[in-house]
Amino acid sequence: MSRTDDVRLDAEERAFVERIAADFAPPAMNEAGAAAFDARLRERLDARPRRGGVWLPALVTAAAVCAIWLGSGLWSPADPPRSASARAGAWETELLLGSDVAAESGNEAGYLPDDYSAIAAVFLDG
Amino acid sequence: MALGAAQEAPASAAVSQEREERFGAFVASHRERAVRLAWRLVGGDAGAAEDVTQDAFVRAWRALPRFREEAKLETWFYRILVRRAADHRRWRGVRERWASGADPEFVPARPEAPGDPGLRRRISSALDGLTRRQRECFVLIHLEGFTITETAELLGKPTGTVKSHLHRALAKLRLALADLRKTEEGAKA
Repeated sequence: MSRTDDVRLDAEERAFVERIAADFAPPAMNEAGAAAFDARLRERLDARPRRGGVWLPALVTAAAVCAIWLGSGLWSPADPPRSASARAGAWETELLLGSDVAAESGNEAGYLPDDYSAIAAVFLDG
Repeated sequence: MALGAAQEAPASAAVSQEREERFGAFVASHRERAVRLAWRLVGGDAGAAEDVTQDAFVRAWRALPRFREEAKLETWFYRILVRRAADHRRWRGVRERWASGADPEFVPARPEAPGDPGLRRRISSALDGLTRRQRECFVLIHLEGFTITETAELLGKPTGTVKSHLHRALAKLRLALADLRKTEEGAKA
């Protein structure tokens, strides 16, 4: 890439930019510095991981963590979603009777949404 | 089968040799400019500049067979370098936020940059005050001599956008380093 002067600067701007370029630069790289740089680059090229070298251990670790977590009993399936009307029914009953009837009665059929009640009737009662 | 392997081996060695030579020449011709560009983009940190540059060269080594034209490899290489420098700055910001109060990391001794260290810090701080794109445009064009077209290609932006970033960057820096301009004028008078 070669420098082409396609940026228009007046003399004062050019002097300002040149001052920054001169005062904000690293030390020039001498031959010894270049050789040391190349040696470190060679080490890095030789030590580079193979394809999948990082992903495979990560995948194995993730699988092991999942297995331990599932086996520990900490995980339990989420409760099925309940419809708004069912939630409102439970809330009204609790408010009227002053206790959590649904939890105490052991008969939850009345608090299930209609579609769940129908499934329960077919598979549990029928 | 054995004959085939025997015939393939020298061909493979020749390809490998050619790749090594091409890469060696590429490193030799871009090493100094790449380190200087990285140094300026990461704010004057010599260790980080070398790390960013070497990472870009490692990627260039891997990508070498894909590029037959040297100019395309060059553009690709500097694009990677600029991105890696931006990544470094981002992660440094995160580390500084989380590690405030912790002992500073051990930094191996490196040759000190020439000039006034105080002024260097001030310029670095003024460059920190620019947006990422403004800083990249300013450093690439004004400090490293890339053209607007080359910079637009490196950054994947239209030339008009690059010109706009450049104009704003210069205006902000002239404001932040106004005394530097006065010194220049005083020296001339």
